[in-house]
Amino acid sequence: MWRAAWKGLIGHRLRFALTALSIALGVGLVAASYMFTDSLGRAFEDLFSASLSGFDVQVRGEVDEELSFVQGAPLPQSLIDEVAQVPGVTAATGTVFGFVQASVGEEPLGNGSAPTFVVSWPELVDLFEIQSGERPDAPGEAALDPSTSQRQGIDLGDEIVAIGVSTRETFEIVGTAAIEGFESFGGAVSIYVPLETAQALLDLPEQVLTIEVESTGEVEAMIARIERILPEGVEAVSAQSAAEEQLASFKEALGFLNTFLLVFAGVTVFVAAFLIQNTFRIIVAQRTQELATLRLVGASRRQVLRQVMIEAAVVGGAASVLGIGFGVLLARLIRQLLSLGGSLPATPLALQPRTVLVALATGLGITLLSALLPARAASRIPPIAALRRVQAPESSQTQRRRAVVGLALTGLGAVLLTIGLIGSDLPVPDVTVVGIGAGSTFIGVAIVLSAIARPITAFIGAPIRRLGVPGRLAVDNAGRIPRRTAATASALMVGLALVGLTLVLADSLKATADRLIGDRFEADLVVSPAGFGASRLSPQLAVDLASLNEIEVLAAVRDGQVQFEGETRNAIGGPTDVLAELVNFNVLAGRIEDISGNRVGLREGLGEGREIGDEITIEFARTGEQTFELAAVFEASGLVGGILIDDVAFAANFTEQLDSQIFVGLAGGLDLAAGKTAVESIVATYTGAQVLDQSELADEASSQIDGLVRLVFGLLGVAVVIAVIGITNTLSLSVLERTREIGLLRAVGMNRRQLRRAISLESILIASLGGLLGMGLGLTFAWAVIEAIDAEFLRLSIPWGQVGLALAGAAVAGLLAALIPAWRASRRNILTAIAYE
Amino acid sequence: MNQGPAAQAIEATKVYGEGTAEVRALDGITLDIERGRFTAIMGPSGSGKSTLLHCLAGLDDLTSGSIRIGDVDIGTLDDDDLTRLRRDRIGFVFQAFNLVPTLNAEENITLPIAIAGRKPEKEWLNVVVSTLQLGDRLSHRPSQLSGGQQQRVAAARALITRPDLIFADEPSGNLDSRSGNQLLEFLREAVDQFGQTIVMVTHDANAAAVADRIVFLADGQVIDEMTSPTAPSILDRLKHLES
Ligand SMILES: Nc1ncnc2c1ncn2[C@@H]1O[C@H](COP(=O)(O)OP(=O)(O)O)[C@@H](O)[C@H]1O
Ligand SMILES: [Mg+2]
Repeated sequence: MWRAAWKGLIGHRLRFALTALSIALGVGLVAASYMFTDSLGRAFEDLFSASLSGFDVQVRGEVDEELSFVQGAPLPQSLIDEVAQVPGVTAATGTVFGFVQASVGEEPLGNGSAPTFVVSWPELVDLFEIQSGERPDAPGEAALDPSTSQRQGIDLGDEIVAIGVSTRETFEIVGTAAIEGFESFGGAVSIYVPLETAQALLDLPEQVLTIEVESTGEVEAMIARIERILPEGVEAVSAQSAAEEQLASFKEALGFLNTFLLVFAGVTVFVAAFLIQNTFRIIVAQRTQELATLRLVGASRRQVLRQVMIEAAVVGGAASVLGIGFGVLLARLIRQLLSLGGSLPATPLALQPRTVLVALATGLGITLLSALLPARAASRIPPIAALRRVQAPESSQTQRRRAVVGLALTGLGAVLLTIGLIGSDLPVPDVTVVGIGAGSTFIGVAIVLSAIARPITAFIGAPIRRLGVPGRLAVDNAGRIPRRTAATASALMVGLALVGLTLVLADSLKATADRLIGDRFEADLVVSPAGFGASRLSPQLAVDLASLNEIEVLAAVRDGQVQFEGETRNAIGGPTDVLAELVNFNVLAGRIEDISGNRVGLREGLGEGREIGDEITIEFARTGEQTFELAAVFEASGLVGGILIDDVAFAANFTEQLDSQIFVGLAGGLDLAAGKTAVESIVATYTGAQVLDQSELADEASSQIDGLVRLVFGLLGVAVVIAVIGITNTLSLSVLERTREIGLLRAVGMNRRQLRRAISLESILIASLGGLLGMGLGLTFAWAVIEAIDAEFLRLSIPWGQVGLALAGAAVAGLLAALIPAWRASRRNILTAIAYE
Repeated sequence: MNQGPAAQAIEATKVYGEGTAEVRALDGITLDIERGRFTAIMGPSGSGKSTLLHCLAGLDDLTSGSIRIGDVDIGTLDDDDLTRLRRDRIGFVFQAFNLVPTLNAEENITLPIAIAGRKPEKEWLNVVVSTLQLGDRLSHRPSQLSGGQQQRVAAARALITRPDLIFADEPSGNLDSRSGNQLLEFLREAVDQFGQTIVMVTHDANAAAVADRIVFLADGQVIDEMTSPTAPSILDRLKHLES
């Protein structure tokens, strides 16, 4: 059997090549997902262990593990000396760090997508490495990270300006410095200055955020000894566990990213499965005589089945190995796609044994699984078929049975989708239920399609049929082997469904953003950090703006993370009485103006089942658990956060006091453009800040959504490419089967152009069938998702223009898929074609 | 209408392969195909009958020499012109696999006209269909037709464009003798009633007997000819040629 299988492979190597390519692409995406996230994980691991390698113990304000990223309570600087006195401590140094706005000349520092930090230069402990020049140890001196210095052409001796909480300072660059081995991270800018200068910029006089300790003793013993002298609310932890804590939350985020990428890899593999199954089915059909002859000379059913499965295993195995190679390339591509302009760490892409195993298992598994049904069909070929020339056409009974099975699967899929979307208490994650539901729906529709492909191609092909003999032949041929057409179209259907889903969701989100901005924002202008890095504004900006006559009201809001009912949430702080004027909260209960001090507001979802006056506990990194009273429940604010506190409560509970947005209401009767010019004149003196009016705000929201859509399309692209390869493959095989017929058509007077047109139209018809079905499913899914979210503010909005474009795109994909088969068919010698067996 | 021969082969030579593998399938054949007559080409297997037919029909090109259809030297035509010439001026009946399986009988008959983007003349279609006795089979697909019916559909398709020439390569070779004879009679009728020119390859003396003229080939050369043949006279001549 091995010999026969090998012969089978060699004999049909061209047909297998495209199949292998599609498997390889799918496997490649699986491998790439793991490689990309692994290498990112490694980079973070290296970074944290490097950044915490210069010391043994860290002293910090006590903080919940989940909030370790939020600045805790600052420590008095005097604590450094006390810690230094502890026996065994050889050195102790204090550190502060935080966001600043910085510029060189007129130009803001940074790439607009990552934040700018100021970091105090540690006096005693070596945390950073000077790469050129010298350490910043006098007031007015700063060291810069080498990648920013290089990117923006900043040399030693150049000056930069940094704007802190309430001051603005000019620094001379005296050196470049970085954590050993990390030139840059995601394009973030690091400015290193002496401790006192950093304290002044961050408004932390005589305070530090952490104390780094070097010691001679054993770490656990040192921690115990240090803790003995620490005041209440301050803790000592090993450098090791501090690193692990920070790593844990990054790992969680990376896990999400990996899942996100794997979802697309899964889609790709799913699409490839259609193609694999189809190819094997066609090849088995074309080899009916050969396989029947094997049976005739004594091969058993099992042997025939085994032969086909061995062929599948060889193709799947070889393609998987190729796929891992693809994976390396794809991982690079994804890294570029996801770097969003910033430079991700240049850690080498790690190909772990786990990745290789998963990739091989996926490739081999999906190939064997997809080949199983065709192989079974092969094993059922009766020996007598060797003597027959034509295959019996499908009976209408099998078609009816298929329609029933298909409808049942579609129904099951719809039920699972609904359960998954609404959310269930099943022991599997809802995402998995949704995935299985979607998969089952796709397979169900594909099976139904295999029963009704002929009438349906005739129906949507009606306009094509009018295009003369080529059109006529195209429509007839597309409906000729319904099962084959169905499988081919279905692969594209899956891709187009997800494209449609994405388009509709994105458009609905954009419409929602538009409406929210229109409905919710009473403010004329919003000042915010430029770009979407986690940057902040100096509170001084709001103070400066307040002096403008053109401005009537103004509200600066801040935000920070808290723990609320076991989840990390964003809390917004601001002057609630003014905010109530500038933002329309659609209050459901209570009053926004009542939010002050220990009275808070919650967004609809978070406030569910509570009444005004109920007690609420919120945990802060700085102050720990605090009790509040519920004063208002609002629908949605358009602000990023579900918890609203006033500025006083924010100041009391957070260490970092920087603004995230400033809402501006212009003086009555003032022209928007004139008001904007006035505001801009102040904002221009603060780098990295921008002024947007409502329509610009909406545009920005749109462009961020568009960015995400592009990313999704990039990842879906692989699946669509596979679907197109699938059409090419099927078409090539079909054209080969029809060689004699094509020769005959040429002999009786069809010219090459007409022949090419017939094949192209057939391909366009199949692609359009997949496109239409996919788009229909995609729109249905989108509708279901939006219904399931059931949020009042999110309403279905269908971008008909884009939907039309996507359908046209599918047709064009069909045209492209036909290029090679059509060209090859038109070039064939008429006589050898007629004589073809 | 032009009064010269319907087709001419002039010093037609076709060589396959090279060196020791060289086969001279046509070895300098010069031949006129007379208009309005039924010409049969006979000869042993491998003598070049099919090759001659294919080259005359513009399905294959010559190594040297030339083929004229009417007054056109087909060696000077590009693929599009040649295709058009085949479509409008030549009809074919092959030994088997003559029909497009997705089209019904009527659509197969009118295929060359449809390809040209024209409508068939209803009257002529009726004449052809009734001559070939296909009236009740028009909506059938090829798979629903017997071998003889399929060949008759092919013959009808060859006639539908009123071509200058119809080429048939062993058209009755795959049929039982009754259907075969019926088909040959129809071809004969096409010549007698409609003035068709037909060239038919065959190795069957009975089939060749319906022709007006027989050209005998051997080793790619014309070795003999006879007119107004009968089956016994053909067999007799074949015996002579073999010896
Ligand atoms: N495509 C080809 N390649 C090589 N040799 C060929 C080809 N077609 C025909 N021949 C050779 O040319 C000769 C004439 O063939 P053919 O015209 O088919 O003979 P006939 O129809 O009289 O049996 C034979 O020797 C045959 O083997
Ligand atoms: Mg022959």
